[in-house]
Amino acid sequence: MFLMLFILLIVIVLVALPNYSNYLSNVLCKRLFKLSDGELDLRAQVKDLKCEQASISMADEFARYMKLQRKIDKCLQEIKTEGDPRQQNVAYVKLGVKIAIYVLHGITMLSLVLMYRSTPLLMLPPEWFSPFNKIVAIPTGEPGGIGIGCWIVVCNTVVYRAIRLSPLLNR
Amino acid sequence: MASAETKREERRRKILQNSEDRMRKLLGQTGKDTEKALNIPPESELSLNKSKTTITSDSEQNDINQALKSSINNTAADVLSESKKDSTIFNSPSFKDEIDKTVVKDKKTLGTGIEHPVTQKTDQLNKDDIQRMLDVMRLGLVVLLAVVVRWILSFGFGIIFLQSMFVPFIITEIVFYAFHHMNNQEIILRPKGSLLSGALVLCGIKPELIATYNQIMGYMNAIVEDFATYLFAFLICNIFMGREVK
Repeated sequence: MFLMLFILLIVIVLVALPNYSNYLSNVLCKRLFKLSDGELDLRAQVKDLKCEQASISMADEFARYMKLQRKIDKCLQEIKTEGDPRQQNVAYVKLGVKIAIYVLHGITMLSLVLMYRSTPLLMLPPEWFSPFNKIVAIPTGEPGGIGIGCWIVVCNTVVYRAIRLSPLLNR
Repeated sequence: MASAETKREERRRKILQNSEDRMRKLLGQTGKDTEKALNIPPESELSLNKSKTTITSDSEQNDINQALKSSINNTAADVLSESKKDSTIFNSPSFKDEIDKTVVKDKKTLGTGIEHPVTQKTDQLNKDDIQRMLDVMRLGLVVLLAVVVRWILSFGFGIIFLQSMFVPFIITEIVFYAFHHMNNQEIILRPKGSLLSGALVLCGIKPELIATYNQIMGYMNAIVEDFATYLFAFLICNIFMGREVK
């Protein structure tokens, strides 16, 4: 019985995990790819220039305004050049995290099925499950038993149905 | 030349008459309102409107006026007589339904013949609401059935002479989907994926066949979902009601 509930919990966690893949990849990227000093200086410079530009009236001091704008554009271009390889790595990490989640899901389910392939999770009177005894007992084959394969499929279906029906859990 | 002009005039009159007849039908006007609605000018005006027509001779003008007036009178008379004779036709539900459908269609199309996108969106929203309601109803029915069946089985009784949990489920599903198929045909149950149906379309399979396939897959998907939900609810109830055979 506890194994059934544990499997249900694992299914819920693995179904909900892809929704947090962005959060996980952001946390991972912050640890792995730190901003260089040069890029930080450039960002601070852009911030200062924008503050200065905001204090100037465009109509009154157009030349100065445009000079500052050109400086800002130049700094932003430099930031982009320096940040491109880092952005590329961040994109790879996000993709890797998503793939890893799906691989983890598959491996977990497969290992559970292999571990409990001959043990029914629950035994009930066989006549209760007729005429679908064999389907319910997959992969154990014991009449009256609930197989792990059937239970995992049932849990997946129920969880996805709950997500579809619930407006709060909609992705 | 004159005959061609009379023919042209006659054709023009018929076209106008048809549009007026349609308006009258939509508005449900009878013969008494016919003349007002048609805004028939007096005879003097008709005869004086020479600049608007290409007819030159007075006799021809008079002929046409007579023809116009007689046809209008005939139409009015026909409508009156029909309304007197067959008032049941106008009051019959099928006739009223037809008019309602025409009015609704015209409202939707706004007289342009093209369905308004806002009304299409409203229809889609209504269908989505009904679909959602159906999903929730199915879920509730299945869970309730599982609880009741588990409770009955705990006393050692059977349902329809069998101690099987799936017999009531099968019967309930048959009844539910037969009812749905008979009454809610426009609400199509969602099939799981559209990739295969897309591939079938590309292979040149007929759209009607693909629609039937989608409908069947929709039903199958719904039944499998219900089966899984029913079994889940039954086993969770079993955990609370506490019965295990060692």
